[in-house]
Amino acid sequence: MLIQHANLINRIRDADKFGIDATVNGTHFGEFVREVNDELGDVASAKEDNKRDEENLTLLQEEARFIDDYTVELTETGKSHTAERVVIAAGARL
Amino acid sequence: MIPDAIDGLDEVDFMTSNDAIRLEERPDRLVVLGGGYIAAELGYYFGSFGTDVALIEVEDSLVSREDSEIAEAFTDIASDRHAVHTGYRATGVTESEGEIAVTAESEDGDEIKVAGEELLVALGRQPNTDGIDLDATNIETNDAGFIETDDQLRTNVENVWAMGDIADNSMFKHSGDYEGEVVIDNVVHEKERTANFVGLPHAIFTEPQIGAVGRTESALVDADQEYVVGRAVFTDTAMSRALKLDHGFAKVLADPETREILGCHILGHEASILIHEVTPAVRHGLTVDDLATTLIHAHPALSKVILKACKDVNR
Repeated sequence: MLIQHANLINRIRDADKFGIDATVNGTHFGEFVREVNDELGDVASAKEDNKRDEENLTLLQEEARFIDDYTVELTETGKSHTAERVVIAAGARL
Repeated sequence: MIPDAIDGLDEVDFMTSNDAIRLEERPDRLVVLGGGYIAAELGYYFGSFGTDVALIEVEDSLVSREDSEIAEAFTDIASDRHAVHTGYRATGVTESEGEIAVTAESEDGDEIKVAGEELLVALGRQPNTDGIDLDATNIETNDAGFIETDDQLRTNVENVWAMGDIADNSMFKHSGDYEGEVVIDNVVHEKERTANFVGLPHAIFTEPQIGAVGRTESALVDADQEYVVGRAVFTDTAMSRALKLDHGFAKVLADPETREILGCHILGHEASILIHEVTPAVRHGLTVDDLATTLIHAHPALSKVILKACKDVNR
């Protein structure tokens, strides 16, 4: 979403090619960065809320580690959870 | 990926892409380690608002996983905007008085020093298998650390599936979403659905954009697969002239016998949209002639660049 801000300022700079005089009077960089991140944050928290509202679903929001093929242990509380079926979608890191 | 091999990196206050998109004060000078799509997009973004951007990339071009013609053309465009140092590997980083300096070396021993107010490390991501202690299980990973899955996204351990960035498929939001659908069908509904990644597109959202689907030319060469190439430049289309675009091209790779489209690579305005014409063609084995002669393109839509590239494939 931030890239669209870059595209727009570049389009304005190109306006003279189209015979249109336009200048950028200022940019509110910090403001639009915050606005974009807040909006994406809202989308993420709406997803989280949906999960919390879902029937038959418990969201445990903490780090977990495997202790065997079908058991994970939560790192903060130390509680373990066992399942018949496991889906691993733990993503990537830098 | 945060490499240990760069001296002093752990002692300086560098940014990851997560930090960079939250940066509320634009730096005057930014050094980027890496030249992949995240480095390219963030370099474009900060550069557009006036930041002097320097990119340091070990490969000979930026976005080096793209088809090499696209990667080279993109690198040329980026070099007009930023200081692009391809073929250099960062070896050391120091920070003093609010300035971060990166030392980098080329293969033949040439050394450069690049400095900025901020340093962005964008050298890729790795699967989070160690973060979840996967070693405590019997689940197998490949050499790069991704969980190995079969075409139903099952791991080698019964009743354990893997999907998204941690699995041995692509690392895209859209491939993860697709894998999620397959996993739900298989885990919840026991459908034994197979995941099929043929025709999975991707895009880079700079201006011009990059859109790609299927195989690159070098992948076809490596696989000893025969191919023919068709090309068209954006400036040959009416819409490109109306938009006053000055660069961009589309390249189509096809089987010389069946004329099926094997890959398509676009560098140009709205390439992320244009590529979706070719995605179903690759997925369903359509030919360059299907797109060039059967499909009628609305004039003067920018999509005519795809038509022209397909027509350019020799009979």
